[in-house]
Order: sequence, then structure tokens, then C-alpha cells
Amino acid sequence: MRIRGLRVYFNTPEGLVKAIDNVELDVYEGEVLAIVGESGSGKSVLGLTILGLLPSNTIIKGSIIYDGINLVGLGENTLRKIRGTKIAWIPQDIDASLNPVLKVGFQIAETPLEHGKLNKNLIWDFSEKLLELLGVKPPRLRAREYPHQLSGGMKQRVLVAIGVSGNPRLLIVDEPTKGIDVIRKRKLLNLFKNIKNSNPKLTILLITHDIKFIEELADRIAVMYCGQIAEVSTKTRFFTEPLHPYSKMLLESLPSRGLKPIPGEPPSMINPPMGCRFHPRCPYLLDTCRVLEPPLVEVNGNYVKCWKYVSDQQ
Amino acid sequence: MILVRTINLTKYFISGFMKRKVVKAVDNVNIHISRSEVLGVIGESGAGKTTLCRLLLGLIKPTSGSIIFENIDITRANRKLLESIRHKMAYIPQHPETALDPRWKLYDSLAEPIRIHRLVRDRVEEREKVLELVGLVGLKEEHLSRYPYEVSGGELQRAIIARALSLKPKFIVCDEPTSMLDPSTQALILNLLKKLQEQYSLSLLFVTHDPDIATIMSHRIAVMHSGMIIEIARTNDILEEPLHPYTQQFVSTVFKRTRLKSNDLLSYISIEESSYTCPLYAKCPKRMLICKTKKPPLIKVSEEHYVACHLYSESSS
Repeated sequence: MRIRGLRVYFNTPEGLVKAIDNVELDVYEGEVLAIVGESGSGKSVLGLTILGLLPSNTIIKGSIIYDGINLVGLGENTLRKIRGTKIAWIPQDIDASLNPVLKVGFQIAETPLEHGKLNKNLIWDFSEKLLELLGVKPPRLRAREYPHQLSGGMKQRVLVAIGVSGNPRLLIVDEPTKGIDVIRKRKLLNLFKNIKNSNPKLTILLITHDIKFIEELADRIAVMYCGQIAEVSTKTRFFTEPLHPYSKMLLESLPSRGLKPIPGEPPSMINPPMGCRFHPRCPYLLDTCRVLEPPLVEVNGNYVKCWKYVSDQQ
Repeated sequence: MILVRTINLTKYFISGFMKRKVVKAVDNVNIHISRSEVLGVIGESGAGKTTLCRLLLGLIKPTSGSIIFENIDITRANRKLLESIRHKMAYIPQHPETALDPRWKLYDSLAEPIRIHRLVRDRVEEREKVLELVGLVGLKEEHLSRYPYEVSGGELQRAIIARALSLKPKFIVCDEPTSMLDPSTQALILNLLKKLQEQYSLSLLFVTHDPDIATIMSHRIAVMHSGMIIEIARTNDILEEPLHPYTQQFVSTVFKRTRLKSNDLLSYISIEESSYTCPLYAKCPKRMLICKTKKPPLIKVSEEHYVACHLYSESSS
């Protein structure tokens, strides 16, 4: 998947909110790409844009080329065919995402059923098999239960099951670890590793601000700041020697790495700062940063949007 | 000097009409927190951490046992006595977004405790006091005229900390104060709490499920499971020499990143709730015969290191 010049704006009474502003990103087949950033940096909006799930009054420009098709501006009917089978979404809010009056087994089978890939008689067989694969025990019983009868961990597995039920090629996972405890986080991590092992060609786009979680799962990391991509690096690069000052400071704010907060506040999305959006909080400020937006430059196969690296090359 | 102490503190929740189901949310907990000490409480979801917080603040009545706060048993204190000590304790909740009245501006929420306890004579003095609080947590005057939905999560949590400090408490219960925040905001809030704790010699009960945070914040750590404290010791001892099989697995999984095995103790909650069996009996690799018949009490292993496991009762007896 190739994202080029993507801009997503929302019209609000206060002004135009530039949730995503000129995002360029390549997603390769079979990789786990993590998108990290503070709340409000546009990570979730990016996921929703790919699936075409934003309200119709949103202004979307640029292109998202997936499998040769531009997803931006596609009609609802075409999108419906893509959602679930080609690109699937695992939402962050467990409780709000399951239908409380349908048995979970039926909800799992709904996607393939809707796309005509599953015979009606096989609903239960299908969902039981999938639940078993994801380690829900006993699958026969659990498939016939309602969401309120399941524990939080099981509901999470059900959501994952719904996500993979259509056998998608691209899975977008939104904040899977928000508000869950460390042990469940570890189990979820193992679950994703297993899914990945059983289907190496599956591409996962992991949207999160949980940096510890991605440390073990992601192949590449894209850092978003104020609606823009600040850095795209391999995992090793990001954790040992991040390119962008923001990435560096983000890592240093972790409890295990110094607990240093980033000074200043996230900028307004309506009137973002001139030049580099990070410049008011950046310790390596150059004169250029105040006035000109830096380009996304390549550094040994990694990408960074920072003037520091542009002047290095000259 | 001990500020808060619990004696056999127990809270059972009973549900069901025909078929009574008892959930032992907090089971026979004996802890104490000294002046200007931070006690970290770690444990998985459902271990009873939040119930313990609510009990300590006197927000819910325990099933049995007592809480002694500065020599006053708050579980048996009458309303008047309770009101006279309430201002010495404060609460920082997990979800900042639901903690303040959405229809009140931050100023009013911050001034409310001051008004209730009649700490100031007039509005001018009140405003001064609120501004002082706001400065303490690094908010600006302009934030005061906003509603909770108009500020970010970090700003809201700072406002809540300011409110918690408004009555100059001695004891603050922090229930996962940063679990919903970004790493950078989390660092900001934790640094702030640590600074204020040292500056005002506050005692904190710091609940978290992130062991990294517990390590940074606390002097001692208590590990909770099935409503019981199964191990309590100085932070370093918990990390370097955990004694309880559960703590050992917890520490090695979370800190040393060992791979989880399917048959381990973590995120296991016993289905048969027998009051005679160790809650981890069914899964524990080191179980003995006695574990099935006798629930292990919390025993002292060394100075300030207590563990609830029969493995260690042998050596001491």
C-alpha cells in the first residue's frame, strides 16, 4: 500500500482541523508497521481513512493506492467488498464494538457470511475453529455465549477473531492495549505473534502509543506528530538511535528510559506552527525550522522529516 | 511513624438472589503506610486493587476488619468524626475524564473542597488559593475558565491533582493515575507527583499495573492476588529476590521478558473459591499438600519482607 500526499481535514465551528496533513507512507506486504504518536496526532484517523469510515463531510485529498486501486473516493459499495476481506479493522473499545444481543460465534462468522464465502450451516463450525485457534477455551461453549458472559480477555480475542475472520491481507489494529494490564498485554502480544506465524503474508498496521508493546511486535515504526509523519524507521534503528528529535524524546519519556516529559504542549491542529511542526518543543532548533516545513529525507533506508538531516547531506 | 494501618481488612461482594455468589474483593489485608512513604500496589485486573483504594478512603464499608488512620478507626467513626479527618486524605482516580463535574468550570471544581471545608473568608481569598494550587501543578490561570472537555487528558489529570492537594492532605490514594495517558504526559504527571510527595512529605498508596512505574514511584511494593496481599517488601527486594512463585513469574515475565507459558500462574483466577485453599493451588508448580488444606498467612521472612506462601512457613517454624 502506498499513501501519497494524504490530507484529511474536518470542518468544525472553530475552524478547519487538519487531522492528517501531507502523509506519505509505504506499507509492505507481510510487515508489521506500528504507527505511534501522542493522542490527537492523527493515528486513528489514518486507520479510519484507509477503510473509508470517516463521515461524508470530511475533506480527503491525496491517494491511498492499495493493490492498484485508489481507496480515496471509492463508493460505499466497492468499499464494502474490500472491508473485512481485504482490509480488516480491530477497534480499540472492546465493549462498544461487540453487539450485545448477538452470540459471539455469529458475530465472528458475519464477515465471511456477508461476503458469500461461508455457508449458513457452517457458521458455528467456522467460529469454533477460529476461537480454538486463538486459544479461547472451550470454543464450543464460548461461541454460543453473548459478549456479557465473556471476560475482558476473551472479548478481546473475539474482536481479533472478527478481524481475521475474512482472511484479510491487511489488518489495522487500533490501540489494542489501552487500559489493559501488563499480563493481558503479554498474552495479546503472543496472540498477535501466533497469528503472524500462522500467516506470514499478513500485513499488520498497529496503531498505538504503547511503545513497549511494539518493541517486540513491529518490524518498522512510523512516528506521527501533529498529523504528519515525523519518522519511519526499522525497529532496531528506532530503539537504538532514533532519527527525529521527537522520537528520541518520546523514548526518553518512558518510565524505563528516564521518565523525562517532552517540554511544551502538543500544537493546535487548527493553526499548526509554521515551518517544522515540532519546532516549538525541539532542542535542536535551527533557523530554517521556524519558517520552512522540512521534507521527508532518506537516511540509510529510514525516513525522517527534519532539517537536521537535510543540512547534514549538503 | 505509621499513618494508615489496616487490620484484617475484608470486603466481600455478594451477588445473586437464589444462588449466592461471593466475590472476595479484598481478603484479610494487613498493610501499613508510614508518613511520607509511597506504597506501590501491583496486581492484575480483578486482584482487588481498586476496592482496596475505596476502602481506605472510607468510600465503602468493609465487611470486616478496620482501618486506623492517625489512631482513629475510620470504619467505626461516626459521620462527624469522619468529616473531621476526611480532608487529610485525597484521591486521584484512574479516569480523569469522569472525575469532575462536566458542567462546572475547572475553577469551581478546584474551589469546591475549599468552600466545603470553609478554609477561606471571601471570594478574593478563594481565588488566591485556587491560583496557588494551579501554579503548583503547572496549569495556567486561563485553564480555570474552561470546562473539563475543553482541556487535554494531561491538563485534566493535573487539575485533579491540584484538587486533591487543595486541603493539604497527608495521604493520597492514586488509583492508576496515568494508565490512560500518553508516555510524555505520563512522565509529566509522575514527575509532578513525585516532586509534590517529597515536597509535602505525603504518604501515597500508588496503584498501578505497570511494574516500571511502581519501581520508580514506590519505596515498598505490595503484590495483590485474589484480594490478598501475597507479598510485600521493599521495591528492590521485590525485583531482585521475589519469594512468592506468583511474584517470581510476574517479575520475570514483565521485566525480563520471558515468554509466557500457557500453564502458568498469571492471569489465572481460581474458580472454586474455597476458603481453605491457596488461591493459586490449582496452577502452582511448587504446591504442597498443605496448600490445599490451609490458606497461607502473610509471614515475615526478613525485615520488611512478608510473603503468603507455605514454602516459607516451613523454614520459619
